[in-house]
Amino acid sequence: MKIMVAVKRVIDYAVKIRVKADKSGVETQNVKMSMNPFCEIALEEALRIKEAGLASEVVAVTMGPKQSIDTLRTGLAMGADRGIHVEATGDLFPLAVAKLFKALVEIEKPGLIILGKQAIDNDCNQTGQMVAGLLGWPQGTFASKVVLDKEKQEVMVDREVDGGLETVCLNLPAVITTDLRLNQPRYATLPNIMKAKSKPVKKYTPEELNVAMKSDLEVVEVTEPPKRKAGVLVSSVDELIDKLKNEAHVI
Amino acid sequence: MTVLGSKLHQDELNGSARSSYFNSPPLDVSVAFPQATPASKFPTHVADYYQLDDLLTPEEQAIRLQVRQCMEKEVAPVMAEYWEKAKFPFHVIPKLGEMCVAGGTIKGYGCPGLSITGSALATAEVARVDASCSTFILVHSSLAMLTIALCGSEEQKQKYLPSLAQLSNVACWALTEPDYGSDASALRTTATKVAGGWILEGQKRWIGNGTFADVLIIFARNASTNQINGFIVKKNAPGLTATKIENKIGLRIVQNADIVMNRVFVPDEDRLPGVNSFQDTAKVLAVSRVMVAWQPIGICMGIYDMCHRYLRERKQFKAPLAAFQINQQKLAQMLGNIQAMTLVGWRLCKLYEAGTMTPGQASLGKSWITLRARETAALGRELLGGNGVLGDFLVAKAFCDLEPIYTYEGTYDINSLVTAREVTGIASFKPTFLTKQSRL
Repeated sequence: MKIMVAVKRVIDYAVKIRVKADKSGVETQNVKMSMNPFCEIALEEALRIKEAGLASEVVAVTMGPKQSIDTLRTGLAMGADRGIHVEATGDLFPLAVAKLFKALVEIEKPGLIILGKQAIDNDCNQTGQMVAGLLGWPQGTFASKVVLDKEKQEVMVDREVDGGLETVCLNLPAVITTDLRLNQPRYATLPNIMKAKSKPVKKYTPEELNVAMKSDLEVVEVTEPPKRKAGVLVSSVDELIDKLKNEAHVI
Repeated sequence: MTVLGSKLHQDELNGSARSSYFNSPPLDVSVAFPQATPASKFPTHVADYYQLDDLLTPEEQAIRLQVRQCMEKEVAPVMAEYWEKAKFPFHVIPKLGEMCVAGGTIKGYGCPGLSITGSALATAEVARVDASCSTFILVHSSLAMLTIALCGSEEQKQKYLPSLAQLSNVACWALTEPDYGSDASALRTTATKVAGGWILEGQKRWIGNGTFADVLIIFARNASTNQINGFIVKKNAPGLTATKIENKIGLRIVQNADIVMNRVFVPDEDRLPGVNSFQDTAKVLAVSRVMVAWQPIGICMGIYDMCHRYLRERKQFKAPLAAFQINQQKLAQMLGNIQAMTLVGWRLCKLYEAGTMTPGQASLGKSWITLRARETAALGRELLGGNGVLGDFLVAKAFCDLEPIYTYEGTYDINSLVTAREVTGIASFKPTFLTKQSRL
């Protein structure tokens, strides 16, 4: 069985973000980029499933500009067998990504797709769900535990939901999105980093996949959150109650 | 103080109610001094002012980032405590093994097969966070494993290298003796042939990893040929004792051992067939000297990264330290040194890769780089003020760690003489008073 894993190149989680002066977006020039942390977890899970003998191949997929290939190489260094790079410039919103994914699935025919639950740059939390919807496949999102049963061709997923943990059983082929506590991603071994160069990477364009890139979303403005105001010291409990009632209107 | 002295002593003896005042645990450094971030949250890498990355292959760049990431995450949060206590963080070994950083340039047998530049960069990135860890890997990898790879039989390579590459076994390399450091080729440990093997007799000192190594590569004088031979000895061998050297002021996390061999038997199959004279040992040292030259480069990059962050965080006289001219000058001086050291190290790697590197070139690299590094560390230590004497802020630890690095793998002085012998054609290691000629 083949597993397809989505990996996205995003601003590194440790970087202090700055909004561009024209408010059109966030500054990405000369800023450190890395693989989305949830994508790392997704790839790690796929590699573990393969190492358990339940999958034959792990294919890492990325979509984005030329530089996205770096993220793909990191995925190959971690242990993915092949890479696919859909080269597309401009904003890539979840629906477009999901449509491109559907086209790739028709070519590659994987038995399982694993994505991170969301990307840390746009926090959309939509792509995995849209992919499942477009393909008509079952989905297990916010996975904190994944157990594959190869004979029964199904996968048990523990989901982290607001009320606690929910376990769902999905028939394969299925879509899983990963949450933080699913696993600890491995360090790419130095020998694997050396071998990553020789692993094949296939390039596609959206045109080749017959997906129109017209976006139905437009970013109007990006601003920083308002600066936190200094607190106020109150002198008595009565004053506190008065402020909560008459100024903050919370009681 | 003396007036209160006896009263304090009494309180300690009585264990009175006042003892909770005197025996409270130390404040965490981020609570005691919130004005700057300690090295447990490692600073960003900014020391690459002349863009070293441009000279590297994509693999070498990826190796740097991977090692850096692992070290910043696994070692940086715990290193200050282990350095102070002079203990080794054994729980980190599986993480380093997972990354397969051991084995460096060795090809096959589960080893990474990196270029010498890639291996050097990995060494530097480890040293940037903690120099002791880089020495731990260097001894294991570029000395012990490399000796097996260059001088071992096929059986020995297959038997030992794979588990050493994964760091499931740790190795050390025993050449230096109490009486023979710089004069290593005159060492006195003996290896006498007996039925089925050899008997080793003698003493070694300063052996890094020696107190816990599973595999020891030991150099001894073959009693019949009078030449230096190499042997693979396993821990717990009867007659072998390895004890820790205490009270070091630098590289405190490295566990150096005094090794005493009292009629230790080594079977024939564990004698390294490729070590038949000191020349063979010198072959291994030539490669490791290149790796050692990169440790100070990494260390100084860490020092600079720390100073850069500290100067912007720490305020005095209502301004960040980075606003004062004296501090800016020191920062620039450190930065210049680092670029120069990096380029010398890089060029040395290229000479090695071209197959033309001479011992004198390697010695010049190691000696000059450690000299500049000591100066850089001293400047960095000044910049941090009081925090420049605390291991928690990296620079003080790095300052102390550079002292043994200035001295080991050939002292600065000896390495200078190696280079000078090559360029003048005259060896000056032995003092002239030993010659019989009169100078009058």
